[in-house]
Amino acid sequence: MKKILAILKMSALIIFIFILHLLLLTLAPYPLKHINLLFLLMLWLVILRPGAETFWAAFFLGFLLELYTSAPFGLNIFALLVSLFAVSWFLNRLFTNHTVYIVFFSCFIGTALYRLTFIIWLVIVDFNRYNLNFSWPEIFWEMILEVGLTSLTTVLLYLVTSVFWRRLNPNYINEGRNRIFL
Amino acid sequence: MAYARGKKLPLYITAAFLSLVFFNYLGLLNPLKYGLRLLFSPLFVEMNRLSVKIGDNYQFFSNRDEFFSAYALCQNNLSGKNIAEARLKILEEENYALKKQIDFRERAKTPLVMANVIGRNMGSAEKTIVINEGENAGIRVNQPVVVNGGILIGKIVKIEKDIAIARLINDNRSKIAATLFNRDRSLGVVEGGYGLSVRMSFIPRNENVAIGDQIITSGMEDGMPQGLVIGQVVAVENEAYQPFQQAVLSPAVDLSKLTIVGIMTGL
Repeated sequence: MKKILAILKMSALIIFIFILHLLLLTLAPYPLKHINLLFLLMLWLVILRPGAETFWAAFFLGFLLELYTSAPFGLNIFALLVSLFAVSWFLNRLFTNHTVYIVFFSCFIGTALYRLTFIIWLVIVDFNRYNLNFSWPEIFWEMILEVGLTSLTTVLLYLVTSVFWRRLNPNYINEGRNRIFL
Repeated sequence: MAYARGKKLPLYITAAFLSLVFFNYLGLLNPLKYGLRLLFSPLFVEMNRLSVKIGDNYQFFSNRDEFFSAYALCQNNLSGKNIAEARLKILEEENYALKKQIDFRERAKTPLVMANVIGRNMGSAEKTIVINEGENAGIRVNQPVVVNGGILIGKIVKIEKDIAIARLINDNRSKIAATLFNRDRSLGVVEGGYGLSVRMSFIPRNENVAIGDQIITSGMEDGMPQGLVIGQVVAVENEAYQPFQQAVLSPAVDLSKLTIVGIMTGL
């Protein structure tokens, strides 16, 4: 029963993130629609609930994206999972504290990797199929917008929530350390 | 903090991913995809309508002068359109009379499948729309997508039984053979500029291109009829060091406010 409830909760969360992402894409004005809300929320989950269920949620979220995209099937899932695994690895091995810089840097790397994976794969597929010329300056401008805006939004969200959420605020760790060692 | 350390997790997810791609290739996922789309489509239609409604209520101007010049341009266009409408009526009457005289039999019109726009591109990497008709309605890849009877907005790039995805003319990967309504009837290719602009390139440098010239499809590609309106020229770039000149276009319709489109099937 507990497991079924957990699955239902995760399904509701996946649908909620999917709809929220679509709402932003459809209703937000330029350049705010470049915020990759889906990646931002998944990254948030990787920071807060870094368990296997988060990656399975990303898998199913990617599948929902596949239903409405012209990209080859599997590309959304692949890009999302590769970038989330990379961020998780960074958080696990390199950036092990939760300062605002680390959150910004993780989001920056993750979003850039997500978009790069996507573009590289599309170039490979399209180059084989149509041998097209890509307009690189515009592609990179859009990518910079997406990566920059998503990272800044993550930082803003982090700063707001860390006021209310002890787990995200590294100052409590410093206070605790000072109490023990000094 | 304990991050996902399980060594088997990537392995399980990779296996699930490969199985998913394989099942999709076999078509075994179609019932699931159909069911999920059935669930989400009504919501998407409403969201798209809402976005068009909201989009109609604002337009950004960076300064007062820009606003006034846009207003003046609208007034000019309106008076020009009134004159054109009067001329059109005269031509219509003449055409009717001529048709009667030579017993003209109207050609059968190209079948048009009407569809609702149920979504837009899921990422910023593409400029596409999702429509609620697919293979079952006779839609095929590369068929032109139009609005208002004859304004081209894109081409079908992906079809499934119940939905289709159309690539808009402002997508980076969109290429359409076009012709200009100038003295030389210049030929070229209309390309999207990653959603930011639409350009017509490969126009020979010695041909005259003027701001306001209309651009239509040339019909020089498979499955695309001649004469669909694409837009009009708003700027011309003719550099001495480049072999061709190019024109920046303003599409004939606002590509962010599409709700109902027609797909020209049977071409």
